[in-house]
Amino acid sequence: MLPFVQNIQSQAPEILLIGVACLQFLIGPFLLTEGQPVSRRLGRTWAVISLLALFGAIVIWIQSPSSASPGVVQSDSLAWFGRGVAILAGIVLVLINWDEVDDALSAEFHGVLLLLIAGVSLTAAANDLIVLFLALELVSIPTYVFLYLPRRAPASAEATTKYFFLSIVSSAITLYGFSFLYGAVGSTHLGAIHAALGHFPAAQSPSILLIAAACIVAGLSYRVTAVPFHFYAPDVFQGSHAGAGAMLSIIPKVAGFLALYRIIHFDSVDPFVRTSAESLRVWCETVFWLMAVASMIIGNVLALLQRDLKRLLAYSSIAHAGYMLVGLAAGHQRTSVGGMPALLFYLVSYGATILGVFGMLVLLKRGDRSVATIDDLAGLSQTQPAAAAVLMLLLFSLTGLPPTGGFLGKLNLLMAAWSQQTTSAEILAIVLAVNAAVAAAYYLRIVAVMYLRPAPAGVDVQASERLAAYVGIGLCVVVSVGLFFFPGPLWDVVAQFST
Amino acid sequence: MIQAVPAILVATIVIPLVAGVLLLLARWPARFARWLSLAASVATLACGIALTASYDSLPAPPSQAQSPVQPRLRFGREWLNYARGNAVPNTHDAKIHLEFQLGMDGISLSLILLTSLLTCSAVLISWSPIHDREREYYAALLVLMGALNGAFCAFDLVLFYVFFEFTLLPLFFLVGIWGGPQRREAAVKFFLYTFAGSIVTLAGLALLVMWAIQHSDIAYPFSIPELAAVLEVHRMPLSLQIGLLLAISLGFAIKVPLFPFHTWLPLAHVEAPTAGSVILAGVLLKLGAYGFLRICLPLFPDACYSIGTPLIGLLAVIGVIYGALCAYAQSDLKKLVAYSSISHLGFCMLGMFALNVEGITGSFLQIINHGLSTGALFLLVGMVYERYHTREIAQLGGIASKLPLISAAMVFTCLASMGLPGLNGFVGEFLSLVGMFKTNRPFAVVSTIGVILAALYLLSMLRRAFFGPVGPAPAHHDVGDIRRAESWAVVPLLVLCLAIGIYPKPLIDFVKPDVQALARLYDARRVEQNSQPVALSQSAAAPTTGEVRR
Repeated sequence: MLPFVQNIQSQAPEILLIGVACLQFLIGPFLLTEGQPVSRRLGRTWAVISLLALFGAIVIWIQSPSSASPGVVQSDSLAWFGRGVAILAGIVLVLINWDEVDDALSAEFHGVLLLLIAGVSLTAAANDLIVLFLALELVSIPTYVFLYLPRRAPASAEATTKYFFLSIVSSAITLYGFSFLYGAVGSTHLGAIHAALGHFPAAQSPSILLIAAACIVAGLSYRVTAVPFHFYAPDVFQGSHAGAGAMLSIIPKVAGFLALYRIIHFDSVDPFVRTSAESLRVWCETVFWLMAVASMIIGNVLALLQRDLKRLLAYSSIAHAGYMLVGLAAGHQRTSVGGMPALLFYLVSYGATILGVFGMLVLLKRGDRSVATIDDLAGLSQTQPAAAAVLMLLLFSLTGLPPTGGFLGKLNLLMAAWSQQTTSAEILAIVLAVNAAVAAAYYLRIVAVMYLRPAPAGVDVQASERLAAYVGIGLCVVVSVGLFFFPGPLWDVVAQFST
Repeated sequence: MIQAVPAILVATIVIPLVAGVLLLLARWPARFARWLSLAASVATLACGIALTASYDSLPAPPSQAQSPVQPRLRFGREWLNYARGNAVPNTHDAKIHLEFQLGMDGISLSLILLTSLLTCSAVLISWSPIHDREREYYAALLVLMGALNGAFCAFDLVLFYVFFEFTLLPLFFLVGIWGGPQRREAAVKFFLYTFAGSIVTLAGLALLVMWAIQHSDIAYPFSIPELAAVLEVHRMPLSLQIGLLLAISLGFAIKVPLFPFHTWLPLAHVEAPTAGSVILAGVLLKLGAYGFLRICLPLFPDACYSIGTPLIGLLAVIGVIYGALCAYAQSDLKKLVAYSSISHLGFCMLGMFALNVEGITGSFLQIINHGLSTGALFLLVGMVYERYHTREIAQLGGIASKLPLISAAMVFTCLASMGLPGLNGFVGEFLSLVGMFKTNRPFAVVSTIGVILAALYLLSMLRRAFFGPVGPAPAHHDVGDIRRAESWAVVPLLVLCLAIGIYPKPLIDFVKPDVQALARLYDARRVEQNSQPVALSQSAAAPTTGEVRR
């Protein structure tokens, strides 16, 4: 078969998603007439089309073979995994944002969403610095629009602007790092880069390699909201719509960690000489270690102080990035519970949980405004028992309590850290445990408000009647709990990606 | 019958959990919720009794087995296999996996019976006082019961931890929703305190398992019996054992609670509804003691031997005396019983860390006895509170003249609790003290004072609240002496108190093999130390004894 055809085949899900998105952009505006109200049905049609496209992508995804290829895009098992996570997250995002966006903007909104899902899945498949950068931009540029569309309020505009500027800077830094890497190695192909670094003796490696690594790690850490690249998160989360927060808390993280894994996958080819790959790996582990500790501590401590729900979740998202970085920082020794598999397991469980939490925030309204602060949830268990129970379960998954996937996620990370038998990894395990206890305080505060406080007089909190969102949140709950009882299938997939 | 035993064991966990979830989901009337929860807890108790009846016919573990934990029955289903899909399939750790592994030995079965019995009492005592959100209330009670039973028969470290941790949730709601005026603070404090401790336990367990994987070729490192057997061959270096013992026991010490970690207990007890207090004191605290008995003692023998007795024993002695003195100073009935729990559990830990057959047996008996007598005390205090709407001893007085039956039961329970010979408290405390006397005399002598103090605070409470002049608190005369549901809740506990006091042998024989297997570990340590004091210190100092043997 021609390589070109093969490439098209291997990228079929992304091509489908981007194609449908383009159609939505192109056709959407022509169905609107100025000055006339738009029918709800039109808005929903776009959502249904998005869903169909995503389901189509799933069908192709399940059938797609996984084979490593030397081209600029891969279809290996990591690509397969990343694509699956992206598409499933996309489906949930479409469902929980059902009817949230203005019907006139529905086409653009859903088109943008499809684009960024395609971007994540392309990130997972990228095997070349340029494709990787393209894929990352395919995630971040639609994000700017996505953040602003659902709620065009001043706060939302401010959040979008903030995200826009900082994201541009981070992309620029990443690209700068890529250029240094290219300059040092002479190739943009990741396979070639890794091979070259694996042979360079460390003593002779050019110092610009370190600049390259620093820039790349900094740029990508922005996406995973690791300290010290987290400053945008609280304001952006607080300012934007809860549905956009759902996207922000998981999609950039998936893209960032997959990209990091693709690049930082240093294997020393030469066992006798200390190679550049080796020294870079040690350097990266040190940096990840520092960022993991800082993210966990700062994220959790600041989350303790928050009253605003979305701001609290932003800080908790920083803390969770810290937990996940433990997987990267823990080290490279091949053990039965590897750092990278633990990270990816945690990523999936966190993703399912946080999407559900934000989905609940989209649904819950007090009067005509959505719930904003923790106190808004007072007495939820009496007015909306089902909603309170679901939110409680998801929050306990974030805490890491059984019976939820969050518990096994934390357990795996702990075991991955201990299994390295180095002092630094042991410190990480201890910091992780202490932080899990700190985090329990603020998640429990939300649960306590929902269950132990009486509902205040006045307008009760209502959950919008919206079947699609119920389905989406239901999926999240099923995955969060299912990962506890049946973790095997997911672990079998992620266990392949040991560092 | 024997084929059905695993199914019955699973039923003791599943019946309450399923009934609890059903109660949460279905909108049944409150009356039905009460009856359903009673039926579920009685059915669970029946399952426990059926297990006890068939226990002797189960095949005994092979006598050559060296593990200090020898459950009569073990079965499991794979939960998470860390090996499959692994990039390095050929190393020995390609076998490690988690299991939903359940089992039972005499100790766990006795505790399942205790849990089921006390839950029946808790359901019965809630019959009339609870009128708010009843479905959720009974659901929380049942879920708690299921989780406790699960913890007692889990033989996979992680599964045990899961149940151990999960018990927090229903109790959090029981205290927080149906508790007294300060219920919110009490619930949050209870939850955070215990969660913080148990997450350290989790970190310790993960490290323990990882060490075992890397230093031995154990196939299933999460299994408590296998791990205990392997660690006896590949001994951990003493410093690591001590570190792990301290980390893992933190969660248990907070649950028990040992002396400096007890501050959450009085508040939680006072604010909890009666049924919550009964379960909390009767079973939940025992979960901590059970953790020590099931995990710390068999897995870290050298650490328990070298620092367990001096350190944890000392804390236990302090707990005995301090709890008793605090109890004497209380003016609130419930707080008094709460502090007396700290004192009684001190005896329990004291016996356990005597590390010999007498001590461990005494400690186990103390676990059961304290569950029965303190459970009954909380039930009775709850009845008094319901009738007088106060628990202040100064407000009460002369209850005996108005509520003779409740008062008689109270006197009986107090006698059992203070360790009057012929009642159950005596047997446990006596054996614990005898055990400790053999190991560390000063500890035993000092904690004997606790027995005297127990008589002091309980008798003076009885005198002031139940006898003497009638106090100022008005009795609500629409409620009379003990009701039928209440007597069904209390009387079985009192009968058992008497039975264990008069003839404890069947209970002791029931757990004898398990206790002996544990104590054998420490007898070996004593022999080693007496014959070759130098050799032990050397082997403990050499960090990698296990590796050398491999």
